[in-house]
Amino acid sequence: MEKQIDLAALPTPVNILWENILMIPLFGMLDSKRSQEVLETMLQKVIDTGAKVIVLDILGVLTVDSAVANHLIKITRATQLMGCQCIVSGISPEVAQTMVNLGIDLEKVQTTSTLRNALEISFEMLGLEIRKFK
Amino acid sequence: MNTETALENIGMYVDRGCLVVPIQIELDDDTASKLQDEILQRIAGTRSKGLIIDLTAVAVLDTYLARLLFNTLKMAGLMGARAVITGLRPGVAVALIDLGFEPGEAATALTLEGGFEIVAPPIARVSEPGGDEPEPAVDGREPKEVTDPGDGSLHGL
Repeated sequence: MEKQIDLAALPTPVNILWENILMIPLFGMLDSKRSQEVLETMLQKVIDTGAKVIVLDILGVLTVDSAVANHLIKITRATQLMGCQCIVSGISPEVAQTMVNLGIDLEKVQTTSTLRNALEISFEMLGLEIRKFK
Repeated sequence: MNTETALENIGMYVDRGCLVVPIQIELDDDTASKLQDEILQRIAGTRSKGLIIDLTAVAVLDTYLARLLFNTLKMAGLMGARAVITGLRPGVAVALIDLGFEPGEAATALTLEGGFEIVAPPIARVSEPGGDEPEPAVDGREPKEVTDPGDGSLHGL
């Protein structure tokens, strides 16, 4: 008998991408309960690690409507108050279209389509550069 | 002219890390909508940091198409690309305003070059593979400070 995995019951994974850069991948639905849990986890991690940047990857979030957008805005504002910049990555063309067509405004939240772009921006924010050694 | 041929005739290209879309043909609603999809997919596919929609060759623009193109700028923005519309002709601009069109916060420039100044990729401090030293700017040019006043238009001088 197959066991249904309840994504909402799984704890929010927090990845350390680099010193001071955390990454949190979100999957499935981002409802109020989940959003609150993500927020609490993030703020705790900021305190624990002193992270300066958190990348919130929403590639796995299926629906991005105004409710989800508001959760994202709230999360980014809260982490900013704690001295941590939040970048939302994983905005696909379809999500970008939906958001603009629905008139959803993410205000000042920085967004990217790929995790790589978000990482580049994070490095820039921290004054880091990548150099190839011979 | 069917949609596929029309899209091919648009001839978008990538220059200095930016996707340039010169609109040179008449677009019906359906083709326009597919063009928007195509532009966004290309941005994702080429990881462009900028989008320039050039309207120099456009003599007539209705509010639906204008709204669609300006919305495409916003969508590209959400995907992390700086976007600008260039070359909007005065007659077309006046007609749009008369029809009640509001550009909002969209960035605009008079010329293609002006567009590049707005969307030219920020200084990326990642060396290209095989390079000896990090370049000051990805495309080799000196980085320029360009600020967008955010009032809806930036007319290149």
